Amino acid sequence: MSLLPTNGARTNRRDFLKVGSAAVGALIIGIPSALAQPLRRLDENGVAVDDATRAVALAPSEYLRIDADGTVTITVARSEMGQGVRTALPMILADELGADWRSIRLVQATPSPQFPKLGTGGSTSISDMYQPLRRAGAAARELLVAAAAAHLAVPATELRTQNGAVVHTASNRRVPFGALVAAAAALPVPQTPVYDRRFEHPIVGKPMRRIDAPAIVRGTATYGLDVRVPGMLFATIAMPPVPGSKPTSFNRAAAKAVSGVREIIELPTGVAVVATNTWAALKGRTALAVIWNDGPNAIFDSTRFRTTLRTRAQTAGGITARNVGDVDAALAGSTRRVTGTYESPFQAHATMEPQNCTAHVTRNACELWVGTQEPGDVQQNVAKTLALTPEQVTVHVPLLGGGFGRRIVAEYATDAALLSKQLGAPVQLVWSRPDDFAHDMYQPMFAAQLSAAVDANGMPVAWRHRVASTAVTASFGDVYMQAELLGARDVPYAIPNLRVEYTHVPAPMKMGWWRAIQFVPNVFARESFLDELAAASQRDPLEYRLQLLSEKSQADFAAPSAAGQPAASRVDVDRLRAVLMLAAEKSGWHVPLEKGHGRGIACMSYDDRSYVAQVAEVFVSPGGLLRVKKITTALDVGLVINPLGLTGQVEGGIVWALSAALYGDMRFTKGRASRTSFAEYRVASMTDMPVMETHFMPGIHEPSGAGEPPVPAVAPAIANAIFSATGKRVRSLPITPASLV
Amino acid sequence: MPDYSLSINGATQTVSADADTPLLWVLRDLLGLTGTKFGCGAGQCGACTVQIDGAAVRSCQLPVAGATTMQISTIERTGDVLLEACRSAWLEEDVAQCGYCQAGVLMTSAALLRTTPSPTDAQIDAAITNICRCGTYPRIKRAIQRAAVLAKSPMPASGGARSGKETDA
Repeated sequence: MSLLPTNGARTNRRDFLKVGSAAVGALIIGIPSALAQPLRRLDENGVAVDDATRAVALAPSEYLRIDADGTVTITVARSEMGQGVRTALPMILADELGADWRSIRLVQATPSPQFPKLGTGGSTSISDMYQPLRRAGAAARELLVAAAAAHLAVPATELRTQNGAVVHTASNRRVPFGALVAAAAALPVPQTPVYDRRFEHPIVGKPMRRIDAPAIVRGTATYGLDVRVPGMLFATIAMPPVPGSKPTSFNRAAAKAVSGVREIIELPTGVAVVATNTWAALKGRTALAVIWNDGPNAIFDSTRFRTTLRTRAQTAGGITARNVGDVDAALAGSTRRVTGTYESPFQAHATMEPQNCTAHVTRNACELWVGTQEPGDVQQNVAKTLALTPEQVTVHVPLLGGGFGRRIVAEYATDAALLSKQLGAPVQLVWSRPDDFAHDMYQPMFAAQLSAAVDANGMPVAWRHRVASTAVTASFGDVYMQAELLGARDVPYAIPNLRVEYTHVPAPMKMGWWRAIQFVPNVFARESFLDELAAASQRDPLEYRLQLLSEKSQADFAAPSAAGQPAASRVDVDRLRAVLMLAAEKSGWHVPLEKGHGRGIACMSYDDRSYVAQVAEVFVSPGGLLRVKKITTALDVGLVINPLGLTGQVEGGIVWALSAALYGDMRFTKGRASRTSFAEYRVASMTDMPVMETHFMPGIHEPSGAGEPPVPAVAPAIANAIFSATGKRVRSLPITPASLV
Repeated sequence: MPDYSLSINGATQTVSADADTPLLWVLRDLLGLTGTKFGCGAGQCGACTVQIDGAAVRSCQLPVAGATTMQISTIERTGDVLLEACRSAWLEEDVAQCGYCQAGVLMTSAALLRTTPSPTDAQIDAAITNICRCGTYPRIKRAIQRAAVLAKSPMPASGGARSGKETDA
């Protein structure tokens, strides 16, 4: 089929229509877009050049370009760290467009005025991108349909898109997208396109395999550490083992004597060793034998600190974050009180790919390759450090070898840039595994005391939740209580007198965001304590929760707080009840178990978007050995985009939670991280795997994220199952065999 | 700096390296075979696993001087029946999440199938000591079982055709 002639449907609405000549004379229409430029390809010398074969294109949005050969190019504006965004996000657009999934090609966005927000975190990628991507797909579809209507001389209403073509069913005619590109590109881009859901979802909701998987299984997928730039050097850096310490001396000569070592460069963050290969750099780093002036933080001891934190959680004096009724009076006036203190340790992220960044600084520009969840921050920080404008700093985002929140901050990117500038050569900076453990931004250490008074029926009339922790938000500025109290302040249970308090107890190390953030410790405490109340009242923990889940629980959430902070998300208690009932049903909640076995249940809502309930089934041997036999998950994330990816996220979230519940415990002695290898810092392995069974609620709500929601309820479900099996209450993580004897 | 002649994926390659340089860094930094991953450098995580004469070996622990007379296979190898069966099974089961550890898991799994063509769950548990922080263990186990079946079929399919090539916006 020949290309269609451009029709005359131009308008004066310059917002909609820009006709211009690209370098090769192509007609490019739409919102100014990087995608509207000829695509770049690498020539035989590895130099990026314009791909002249892709001159004519329809690029109605920054997320989409369709070429005359029918290739559909979709921009992924989130970082891929294993959660599957590079598959799920294109699915949304391709579904609404009616694209042929096999013709999809991806472009990873880089920070620019077009893509000011590339941050990936908080399980927001699907919920934030669903509407923009669907709109982009719908706009392009309307343009293609309009062009096809003119070409086929039929009303647009008789046309639909399917598998990369516009289809006229009545006449059995089919026009491929590529043949319509030129004509469609001449039409004004519709600003309020109508979503096409008259037909079945062709792609959304189907189990789609990961788009990067073929490259991964061949070893050709590019992670940050796999970036190779001609002439590049390799570096690592010796950093202070105690926060704030400074090098007093190091053996420069010994390090330089290591074969392959080129330079020793002092940076504000430590002493870097630059070499012709990574091994030489690592050897040179050892040869440096840096003597550190430890400074005041060398007295920090995490075991002692744990006692401090527990004491603070058990003491009045925190800042009140939520207050309903009169908790003190209700507690004082009750004869039936229950109290428990819950604790969890510092946790490392331990991404499989150690932190790294490759930088190439030239006179007026800096090019970076860094697997980061916040490329925009990297651009800003490096520009500031090098006194460049953000536009002069290009940040490429290769695949991330695990993110889990660690890669929200890429503090090492500025080090890589400084090294490249000083060397006048591209350089790849990588941390050793011990350094990656010792310089993590940790999940905070946490303690919470919960106290409740129950009425004659065993239902709580007062609930006081006191949290003390090494605040995450303190690493980024002021302590923001709402973030520290996620899962505590938004307790969904209807209790007439309720107070949540927070105390920040600073530690010298940096804290960071960790998969499922502060929901993890707060939900552990809340759901364990609720189980204690149910047990004290001899009530079934499921029925107890269902009875307490009521809209009344959040009456005080309607208005912004006095401090001007926005109202908290209102938990949809009906959705929470529904997942509880589904998890109970599917797990056989009421079916009796053998001696030594037990079931426990817990639930949570991630903001007001994702709802999860989990039932754990455990076995505890008389010697205290714990075996998590099964985790049944019921999840409501609204419309399910990719069930195959979603199930993987649930399983991955459970494994993440198992690592923390069974093993995760970062310790500090004399101010230093004392567990800096996988031998010392154990994580879950193949032999720990329970049976995992996952059920989704029908997707009647807008789609939401699932990277984190499957994590927080796992530990309390296990702890509650242990109680059911043994009568022993786990209040401290990780769970040790000694605590179960 | 001595020269070493290595047989990698069926081809002979010569590199100049210090004798103690682990094979991992020879592959990655000197030969550009970046499919083999650096995870811990201590032989604990398994991300760097390659095959030496068909057996799974953690390449961060093997000095180049000790690898000269043997057949080295990395994740880049093509045409190996067991590795291709594992690749196909990995794609079918959609195993990879971040994917960083999977090269090592694939090489370990293919080596397992060489000695144990029909592994039990317990044998898989014992062989796959690799760490995966994304938690893909259940799918790894299913994929190994599937690969075991595929490897016995006359023509193991080679998986998917997507190139993974792309440009920046």
